[in-house]
Amino acid sequence: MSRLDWVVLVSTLLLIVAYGVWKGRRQRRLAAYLLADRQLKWPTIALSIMATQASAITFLSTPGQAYADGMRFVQFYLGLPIAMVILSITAVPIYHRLRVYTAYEYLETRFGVGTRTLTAILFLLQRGVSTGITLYAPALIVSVLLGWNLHVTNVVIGFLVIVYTALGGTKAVSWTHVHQLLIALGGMAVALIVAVRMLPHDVGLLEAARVAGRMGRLNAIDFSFDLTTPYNFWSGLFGGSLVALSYFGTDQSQVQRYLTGESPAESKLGLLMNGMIKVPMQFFILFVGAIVFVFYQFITPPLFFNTVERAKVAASPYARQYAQLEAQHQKTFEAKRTEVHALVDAMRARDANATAQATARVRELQKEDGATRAAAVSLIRRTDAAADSSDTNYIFLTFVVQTLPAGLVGLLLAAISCAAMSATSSGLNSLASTTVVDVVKRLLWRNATDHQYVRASKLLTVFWGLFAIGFAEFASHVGSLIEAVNKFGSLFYGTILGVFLLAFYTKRIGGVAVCLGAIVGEAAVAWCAIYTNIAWLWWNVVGLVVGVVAAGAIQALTPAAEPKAISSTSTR
Amino acid sequence: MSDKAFRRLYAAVIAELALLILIFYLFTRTFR
Repeated sequence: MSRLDWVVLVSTLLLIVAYGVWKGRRQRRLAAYLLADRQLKWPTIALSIMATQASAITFLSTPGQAYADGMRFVQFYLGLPIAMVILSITAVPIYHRLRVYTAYEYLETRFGVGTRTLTAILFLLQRGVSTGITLYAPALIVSVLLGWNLHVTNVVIGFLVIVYTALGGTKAVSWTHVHQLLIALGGMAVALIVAVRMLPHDVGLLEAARVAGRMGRLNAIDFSFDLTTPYNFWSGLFGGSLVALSYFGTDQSQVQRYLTGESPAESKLGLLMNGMIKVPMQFFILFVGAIVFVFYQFITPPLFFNTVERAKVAASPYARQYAQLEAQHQKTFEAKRTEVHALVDAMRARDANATAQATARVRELQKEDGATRAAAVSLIRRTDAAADSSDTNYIFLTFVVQTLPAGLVGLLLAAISCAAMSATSSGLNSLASTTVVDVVKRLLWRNATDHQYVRASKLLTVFWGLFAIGFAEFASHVGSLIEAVNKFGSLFYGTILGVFLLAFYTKRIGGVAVCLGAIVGEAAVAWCAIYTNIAWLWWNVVGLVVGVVAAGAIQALTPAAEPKAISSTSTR
Repeated sequence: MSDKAFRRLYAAVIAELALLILIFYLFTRTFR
């Protein structure tokens, strides 16, 4: 990294922290600290919602996902706009009417304190781990590719986030989100422009898209119905809707973003704008990955992108075998590059026969190279059984570091750091809110002053920040990180969503039945995850359906236990 | 904003989703 890169990176991060601290200064009331005094407008809410979901993993792992697997991951987001509409109609009016601080607070009005505490604890468990991964993922990738110290990177990014999140609260978090998201998206746009400009002179954006498509990287839609395929139209629409409903409707890291709205209308507009922008944004990020894939059809990509694992093999008894595989990879690459050029020429000449022949040859060589890569992965595993055998997360940053000019590398690293900070700050902010409002204020320390609760919130933000740093220190590789985060969330999302749906739409099911139903739902999800090969998006459906049906059955079988007669429209 | 304006906005969000699915489908077919 050049000096200019360092200047860009460090100055961006310090400016963000200073801006956050300045924006969030002088907040002494809990409503100001946790909900920005409920004064935010929809553009800030929309960008804050998007920045919360778009972590560094989104910007590092998603292009790699397109490189390795094509663009079908975009289908995961197809249910999101539907969820935004449903939440605008149902959850937003209820949360605003009850003037709650957290989503779980609402559940007490419906099912009692037990259900509120259970869901709050499930949230703390899941979000605590996810925030750790959010911090750890970019630190790991950057440390591997740039040789930075992993522990120092974890601690520095974690510390910067703790400073402005603890001092400035929700206001600082929401306002920094606006700038962080714009920087991150700007960085991706720069990466796309550079990738296209670095292609051979006879290959423009359209030719690059055609090559990517012929090589199976622009597979944005797949209508085939298959329960074992992770991403298709149906799993995206149904599983994706439920993930989004649960994540945006019941996960405090998101709910807190739109609870800051000046009115229900501002909150709804924030959610709906997210629904309109999110899918095209993910498509764009995946498309950047597909173009990076085309770039590496003309410049030799490493046989395996993770340099640490590569170095381990080079120092092992398998070094010679690995070197032979690298030679084979280079040979295949050169043959493939010639054929890709032939494919571009054939497509430009509109010669259907030549295009079909060149496509077949390119695909054959791609398959050959895939076999070489599989053999390399096998050597990596034999060298170290615990090695990270997926290099998806390293692809995009390798491209950035090797290709972008001085200054732009710093910009891209700043973009990735901003994304890491935005998701982490929402995580810490919501973890502190839930701990203070649903545990401390409700169960442990009921009569403190507002000022004392603000102080407790600040201390808990620091505590959860240290927890996330500690988790990041102990985490090990977790495959494709974006998938890992969503997969882990899917263990809980369906069940939690079931609890909220029962709260919103039923009056006859009580707290005990809901709690027991949730436990049965979780057991069903655990069974699916451990004993079946049902794709993880469907776990959300299983958790929801089993949890709701079990709660209904338990309520029906125990008529003596009368449900609490408070409907979703009641106020406190 | 009135309820009617919101109902129109909900319809616009769903219509945009339908349009995006159609675009993605054509995109996949065109570039495969």
